[in-house]
Amino acid sequence: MKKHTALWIILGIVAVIVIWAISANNKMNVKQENATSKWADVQADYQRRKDLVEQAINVVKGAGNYESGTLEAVIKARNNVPQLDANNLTEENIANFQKAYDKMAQEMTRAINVTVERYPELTATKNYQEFQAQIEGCENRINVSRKKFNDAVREYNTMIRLFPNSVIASLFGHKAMGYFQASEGAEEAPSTEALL
Amino acid sequence: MRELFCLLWVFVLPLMATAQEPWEETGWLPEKGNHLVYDYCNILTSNQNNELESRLTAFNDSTSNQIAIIIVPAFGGNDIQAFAFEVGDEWGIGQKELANGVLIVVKPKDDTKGEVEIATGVGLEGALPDIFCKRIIENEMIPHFRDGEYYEGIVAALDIIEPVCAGEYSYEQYKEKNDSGVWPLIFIVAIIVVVIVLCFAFDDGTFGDNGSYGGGSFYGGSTRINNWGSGSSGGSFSSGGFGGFGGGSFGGGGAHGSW
Repeated sequence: MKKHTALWIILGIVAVIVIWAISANNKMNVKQENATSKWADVQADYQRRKDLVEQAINVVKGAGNYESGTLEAVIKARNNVPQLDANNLTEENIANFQKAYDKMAQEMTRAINVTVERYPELTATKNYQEFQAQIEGCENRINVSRKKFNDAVREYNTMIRLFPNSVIASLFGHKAMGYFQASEGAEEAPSTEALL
Repeated sequence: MRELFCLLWVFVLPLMATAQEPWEETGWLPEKGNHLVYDYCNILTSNQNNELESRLTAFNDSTSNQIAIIIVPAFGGNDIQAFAFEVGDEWGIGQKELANGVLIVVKPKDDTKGEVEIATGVGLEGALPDIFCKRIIENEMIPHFRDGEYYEGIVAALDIIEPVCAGEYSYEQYKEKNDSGVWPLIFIVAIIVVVIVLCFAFDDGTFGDNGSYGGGSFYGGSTRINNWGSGSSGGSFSSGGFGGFGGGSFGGGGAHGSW
């Protein structure tokens, strides 16, 4: 009889631990899912910036006698931007992703600036003004979604790093995710306002 | 003892003299209150303030769209955009399900340039595209602001923004989307059914007092229905003043201008 009681107690403890581990794992999954869904928002906002290139091309073409060299650089930079899968969100991948997009934005701004320098009257056109408001909204959205992504990642990373969750995390293969770092020059690079 | 106090004052007084205004501290966000107009610069007369407050409260009550106005001399070390989106998200301007909030931030011109931002909630980005907000700022607000007519500029902007928002989301839509009243009821009925079934299933004498237990939980359920019902329909739509922000979110939509 006594033997049985001990067995039951051990079984009970094991059951509690298993249930706790499963629920901890579920919580991590939820947090991870939250972060990856935020990543989708980030990617959508960057995609928006990519789409803006069309508009930049229109603005440049609107100047009439445009330089084909600047346009080619923009289009080339646009075609070089990668997609980043939500399963590979390491610090390094995110940095590369960001670099490619920032380069594209820089090329885009450069083309616009070169054109505006040559045709100052362009700034009065509807195309140009719309482009400017668009690019501003685009940058704002990227900033906001990046911040929300970082917050979600921070929450997830904190959870999986704290003991005893860290044991469960390594058991179920939860890895820490990367953050966005503020990239130097990226903030002011796409602004066309400086010229006005 | 007295010397100690004197010494204390010697240290405390300079601190007080150099104390920063709250909005100059890094990361400062204004405190959320139960109203929609926040004038930290006192550029609106109390009449104008009340006028705007009651207008925006009425607009919230009739359409569920929430428009808030903040007038600040500085943005806690941030730029106006980051400040606006952070406040909008933090306060939850707009209804949670519709994200139909608008936040207008104005920094009056002093030694530095004046700035204005119209930040649109995620749900209103379609109705109020960035370029549209930009035009409102350039054509309606800044011409007034240049003359120091802050109230007039804000009213001119509201005259355009309000009908557009009302066209996008009406109070009926909000009610429809928010009317979760039926689901808790179904949920409770389902639980009751399960409990009754279980009672019958285990009713072999050993669970003898289960019958009365089931009755008790049925009572608990029915009172809860009442609570939930009033909770979801009342709340933010009290008839008096503004009932509070609904939990809307901001994704970076909007525009800004300066003069």
